[in-house]
Amino acid sequence: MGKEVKNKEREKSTRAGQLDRDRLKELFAQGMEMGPQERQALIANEKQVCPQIARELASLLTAADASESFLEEGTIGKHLQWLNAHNCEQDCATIPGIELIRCIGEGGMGRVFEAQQLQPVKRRIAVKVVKAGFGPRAQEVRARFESERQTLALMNHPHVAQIYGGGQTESGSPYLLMEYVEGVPITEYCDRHRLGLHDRLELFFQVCRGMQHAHQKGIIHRDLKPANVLITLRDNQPVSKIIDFGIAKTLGNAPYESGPNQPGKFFLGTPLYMSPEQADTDSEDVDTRTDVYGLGVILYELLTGQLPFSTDWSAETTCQELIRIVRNKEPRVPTRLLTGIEATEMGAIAQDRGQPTPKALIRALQGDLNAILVKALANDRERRYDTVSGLVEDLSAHLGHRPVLAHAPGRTYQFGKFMRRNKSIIGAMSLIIMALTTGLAVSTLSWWRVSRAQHMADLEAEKATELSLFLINMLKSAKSDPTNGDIRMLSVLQRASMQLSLDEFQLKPEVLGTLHHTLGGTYRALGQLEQSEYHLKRAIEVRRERLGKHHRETLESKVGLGSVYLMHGYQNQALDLLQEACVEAKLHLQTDDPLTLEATQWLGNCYQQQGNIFRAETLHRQVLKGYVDHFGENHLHTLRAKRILAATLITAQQFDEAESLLLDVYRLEKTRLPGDHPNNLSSLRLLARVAGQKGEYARAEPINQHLMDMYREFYGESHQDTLQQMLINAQSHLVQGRLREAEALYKQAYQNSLRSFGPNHLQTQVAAAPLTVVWSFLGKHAEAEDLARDRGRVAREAFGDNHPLTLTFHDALGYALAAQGKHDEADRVLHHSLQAANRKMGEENMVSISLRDDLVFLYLEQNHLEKAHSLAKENLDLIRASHPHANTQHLQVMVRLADVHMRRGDLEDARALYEKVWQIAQEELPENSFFRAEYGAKLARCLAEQGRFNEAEHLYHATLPRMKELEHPNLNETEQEWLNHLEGHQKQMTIAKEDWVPPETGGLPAPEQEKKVVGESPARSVTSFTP
Amino acid sequence: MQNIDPNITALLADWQKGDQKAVNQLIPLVEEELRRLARQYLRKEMPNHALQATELVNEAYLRLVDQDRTTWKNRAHFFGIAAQMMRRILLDHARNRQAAKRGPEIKLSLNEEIMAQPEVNMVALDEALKELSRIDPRQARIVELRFFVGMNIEEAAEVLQLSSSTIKREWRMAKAWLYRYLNQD
Repeated sequence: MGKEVKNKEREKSTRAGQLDRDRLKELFAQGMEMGPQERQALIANEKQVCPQIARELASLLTAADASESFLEEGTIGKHLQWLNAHNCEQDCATIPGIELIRCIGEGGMGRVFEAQQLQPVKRRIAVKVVKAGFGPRAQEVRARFESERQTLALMNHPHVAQIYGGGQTESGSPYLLMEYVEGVPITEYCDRHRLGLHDRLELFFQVCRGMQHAHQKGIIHRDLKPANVLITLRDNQPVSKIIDFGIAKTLGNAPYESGPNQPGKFFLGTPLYMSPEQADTDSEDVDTRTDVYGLGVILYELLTGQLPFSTDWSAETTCQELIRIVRNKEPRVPTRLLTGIEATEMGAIAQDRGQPTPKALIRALQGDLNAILVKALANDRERRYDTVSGLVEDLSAHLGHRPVLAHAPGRTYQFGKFMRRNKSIIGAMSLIIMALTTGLAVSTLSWWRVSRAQHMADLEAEKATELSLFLINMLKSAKSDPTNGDIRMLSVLQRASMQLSLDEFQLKPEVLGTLHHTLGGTYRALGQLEQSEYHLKRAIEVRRERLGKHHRETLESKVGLGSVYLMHGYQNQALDLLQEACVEAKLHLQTDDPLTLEATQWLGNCYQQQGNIFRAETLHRQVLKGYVDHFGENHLHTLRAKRILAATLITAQQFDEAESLLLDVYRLEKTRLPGDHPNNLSSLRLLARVAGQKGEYARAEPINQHLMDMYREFYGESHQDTLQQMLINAQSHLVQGRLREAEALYKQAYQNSLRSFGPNHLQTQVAAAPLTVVWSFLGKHAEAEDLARDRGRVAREAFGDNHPLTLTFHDALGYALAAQGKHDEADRVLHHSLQAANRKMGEENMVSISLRDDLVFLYLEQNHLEKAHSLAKENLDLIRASHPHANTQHLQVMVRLADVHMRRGDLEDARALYEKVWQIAQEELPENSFFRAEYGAKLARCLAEQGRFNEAEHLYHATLPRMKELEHPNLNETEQEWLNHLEGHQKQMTIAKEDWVPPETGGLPAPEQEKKVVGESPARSVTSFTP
Repeated sequence: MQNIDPNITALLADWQKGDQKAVNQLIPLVEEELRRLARQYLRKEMPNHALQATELVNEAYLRLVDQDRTTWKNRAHFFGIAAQMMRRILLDHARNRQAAKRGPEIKLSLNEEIMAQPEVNMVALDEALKELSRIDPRQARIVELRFFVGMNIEEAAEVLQLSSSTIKREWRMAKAWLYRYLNQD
């Protein structure tokens, strides 16, 4: 009954249009927990009670399924970004000193505004804002834009719209401030004013002069058409202005579009003014002749009122067909095209050009102008004028009734003086333009490396007299924001290099030599050694032929090539070449010529790499003196020479002098170069290395930490340099036995490398190797085995059986197997690897020593005590001879021999060694070192075995808490040992009370088996992993 | 770069104590910071970095409020008002965008996938939210907190003094309701 009443009430309220929301919510919550069938039942049930609620419930439950991810995390962020990218106008309002007036154009790449500039000068300007979008691509767009802007700003010509500046808006969209040109397209102006042919040509000359200027600055327009050539009035005289250089096109082509066959392209331009090479698939292959074509089309239209192919297409022609026409056809001879045009239209065209009849127009065009247009518009650009100047010459020759070159076939083609003078410049220019207008980001290059390369190229460019302007421009425009990792230097170089090979025959040999040398040096600085080698070799050839064998420039390229050989690891070739260069430099140059010093320095580096440290040191000292004499104490060159000498001194183990040199250099350079400059970083790295080699880890560590922070900050977590520094820091932990810290860092480095470089990259391998070692120290044998096996396989496939890396992994694998009782396989792996290591790297090499040490461990596990004994002794002798300073590995080898003594029952010998190790460990290893704790425990055990209970007790008490704290893998067995000894001792004391036993016999040597349990802690050897 | 404003911390505390005037003073200060941060965040342009609104508000909070003199509850309430501001900021952005559109929209050949319209139309969402808050103000509030500042269930529960399970249920239903509203013709 009550239910019915309730129902009635509900009906009442729903009738009033009010849903019972609480009930709906309750049902909705129930429904959300149900499967589809149960839901149906729920809805059906509710239908009986209240149909409205049931309907609403059914609808909401359906919507709930669809809206699972609706409004969830991430959406809002995307939205914000999207909004901002579009919020152009508001964004532009943030450009300082600018007041927007109106939007005068919007296109695919962005918008153009008319604006009032208030500062630094009050004037009307145009602001072009590019939509950069976001993500890595946007960075590329920005980098490009920035370089374009810098290039464009170099232009300053009355017939080119001036660029005033540019930058980025608050939301990061690049913008350009330029001259505001209030004008009309050139064709429209001429027709409106019915300019005669002569006046039209005069105006066209202005356009050509603007373009010549641009080309001299190394800029190609790429999109010449009447709409981009505006006529404005100054003192009532028409003045032409070229607008819209390159940018839209450059930006429009590469990142967003894949080619001209994509229909999308034509929203950005019209194929009617496009050159055949732009219509071709490789749309980026443009040069000055592309602009010649563009000028030709404008001239065609100015003179005839028609476009070159206007009779070949109609309104129905598709873009694709149009492209095909432009790409494949020669343009119609203008007068021939005109004869096909309807009479009345023809009459109008003629009258607009000040010609009384169509016939008169045709007569005026016939001959020279016909020929000039056909040549300017030749389908094959080889047959076009190669420069705007050529076109201008012919046109003025026509006006001055001199012979016109366009009639060339048959006639001798004589270059005017102007042309000849500019030929090499034009060639070089097109090479640079090509390089600039295209190119992709080189994201893996760090800013400094690139900047170093640029610096190098800058220097070279300054030397080249004729070319300097172009090279410097090229480099300037290739520079981008230092905070922007995406640098397109490399692709700029690639384009330049390609173009150079095409232009070789056109360039003067001096210029060609300099270009090759510059490219070679720049590639070297970027670490692209093969390309560098090629260009330097070419530079030598060209320079030798032109300038002679002993000319300074020839030698310069030789030294460059020698250095590349050395960097490549071709030591013998490097040595030959550098020795030769040194001798020649001394014979043919001034004694203090910097080139002589540079050659000597590289020769010194060469000796150093060959291990001829003494000679290296002598040469580097000589070089340093030369620099001091020539440049003074504090010159950057001098400081670099000092640093190089210091590096040699470190190898020669003359640590103190090395350190004082480095401190000197670091102090002086720090005040003059930014903190993250590579010079500062390498001084710091060397300082850390000195400290590390001296065993002064406490001093090395803060430096290393600082370096790692720097790398992380500047290059990010996954950059190669960061990873390498991580490995250095991890190694520092490892050699001191701070295994947890080492493990964490190695793991991180390994995972980062894996992520950034993939499983097969050398960087990944180099990070994995020490990780296997740390794991085995920590007793994680199964993990170590898996990783070592897997990585070892990769190393073997990549580098072969006998590569140090392969051997290192096999070493780790062998140890892990031995420690897990898999003796046979361990035996095979270790023996095989040791043989290879002895053969390949010598017996004293750290890898060989480590392998031998692990083999001793295996022998102990197998109870082959004699074999273990002789091998351990041999190993200690070897390491003593090769590494007199007792480093960590040295200690491990000593401990291993002591272990063997223990097992053989030679307790005195064992104790002598353990004590020595313990003493060193206390001095050199930090308190939280795993190794230190382990050595302490070993000595304690030995003492206990010898019955020196009090000393043992003391040492156990010092060691055990530390092991507990470290969660040392040997903790349990050490504790057990101690308890056993304690028990034994107590028993003995009780016996002693009853029956006195002299101490000598009280050692209670434990049976062999029991000792084995107590056994060998995983005292592995530490191998130096120099990444 | 921290520009902790003792005034803001105090205002927040006052508001906590029930002083409604404090909110009025607080709002413009916080909003300004939020707008500034929103711009700054977008400029950073970190690849693969999906901006979370929570980070933005949190950053504003850390910058504006003295951490030693405030409680976690204050934080939750700070987020509570920030949610309304974020809604307003985003709506302004969206409106400006629409106003800025002039002349025929040229179909761009820019990368469509990047520039594609995001799934939520902010102007329409705002309208829908207004409608929802008429029927069920609490659900609308939850949407603000969850969507516009990315609060999790527990945080929203703290601000609204409700249980987590209630928030969860209400959120689910509010989403369904809005989704349906925005997708009906």
